[in-house]
Amino acid sequence: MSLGQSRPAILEVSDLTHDYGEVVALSGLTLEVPPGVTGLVGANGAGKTTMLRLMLGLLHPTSGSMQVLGHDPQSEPLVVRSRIGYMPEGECLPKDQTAADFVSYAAQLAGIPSHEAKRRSSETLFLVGLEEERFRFLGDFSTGMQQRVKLAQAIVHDPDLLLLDEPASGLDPEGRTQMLDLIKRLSDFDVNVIVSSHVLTDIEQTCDWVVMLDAGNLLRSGPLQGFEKLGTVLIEVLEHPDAVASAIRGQGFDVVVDGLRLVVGPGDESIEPMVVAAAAHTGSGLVRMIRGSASLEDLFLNQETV
Amino acid sequence: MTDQVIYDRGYRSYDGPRLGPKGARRAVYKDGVRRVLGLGRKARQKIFPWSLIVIALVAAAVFVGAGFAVGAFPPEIVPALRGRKPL
Repeated sequence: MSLGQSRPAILEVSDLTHDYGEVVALSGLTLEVPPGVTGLVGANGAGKTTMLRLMLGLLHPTSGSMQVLGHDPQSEPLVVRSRIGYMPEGECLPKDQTAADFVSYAAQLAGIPSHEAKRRSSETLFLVGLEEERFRFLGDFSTGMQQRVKLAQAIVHDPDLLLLDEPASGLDPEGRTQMLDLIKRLSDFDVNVIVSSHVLTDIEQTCDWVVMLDAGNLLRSGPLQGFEKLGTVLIEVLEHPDAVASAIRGQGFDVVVDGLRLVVGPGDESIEPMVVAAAAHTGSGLVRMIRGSASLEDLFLNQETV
Repeated sequence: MTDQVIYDRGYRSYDGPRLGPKGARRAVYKDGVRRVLGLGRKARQKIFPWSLIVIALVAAAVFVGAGFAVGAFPPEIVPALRGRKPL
């Protein structure tokens, strides 16, 4: 199945439910994710990590099915895992091993021969900006450097899909920016990425598809551009603001009147021509019209209240 | 001034052989042996395994030496001792 695009979906989920006893982590999820960089957004406990573990075949769904890169992680876990790179959230690095040794070991675990693993380890550590530090022990690394090593071990074997669980977690603002730049850079090399995060601005900066989860339920799955278009439009009129507002309301949009200023929406790009028509119809001069792009945060809160 | 140039080769895909689960098992074994012996680890982590190895070797050497000394090894096993009387 595909999303109406030439390339097939990297993830297809159908009526997927997973529970931990009485706690339902994911409930009746159905979605598709296209190739590219996808953000998995949700508050803590929304089911993001459960979703990633199901994709890796580490957990078994209570009901429903899932296809990752065209394979079922339950029946073909080794096939799926051999094509996936996974960057876990928690601390998982051996403190008494050098970065080069560890990344090379990760490559060999993925089946790459020893001599090639060492070469790719150096190249990957160079890519993540640790070329000088690659022979230092991981226990001496800062949090930011450890995150980079975790990313390096996830990409060293050239996976088709990269799963990043909170990649910017625990990083200072500069480290966060660098990590997001790295992820964006990977997408330039045609690596499909699924980034789990509860920091919505990170997703806004890196992703072109967003999946929103809330307490195990799917809030929304769609392109980021679609989210951005759902902002509000601020307009200012010369006179008759109430008449303009009622004309706009007549078209089915929300309007908040503040003197001569009106905030219309949220809505897509059809707002602008409708506002021009409403202003012309009521004989009000239109002074200005500005679209404010809705942040994911606004949309997330908006979705939660629906 | 040098003519050296730094190339940013970026991220390269891998089309070479993949050894599958067999390669993974070998990697686990190899890394396990290296870690037990403290190879590629800090000096502190080398002390214990190599101390054990030295103790085992010294003990073995002492026993073998004592065996030689008291003539505990029959000449069929140690031809060099053939004809020599026990101490």
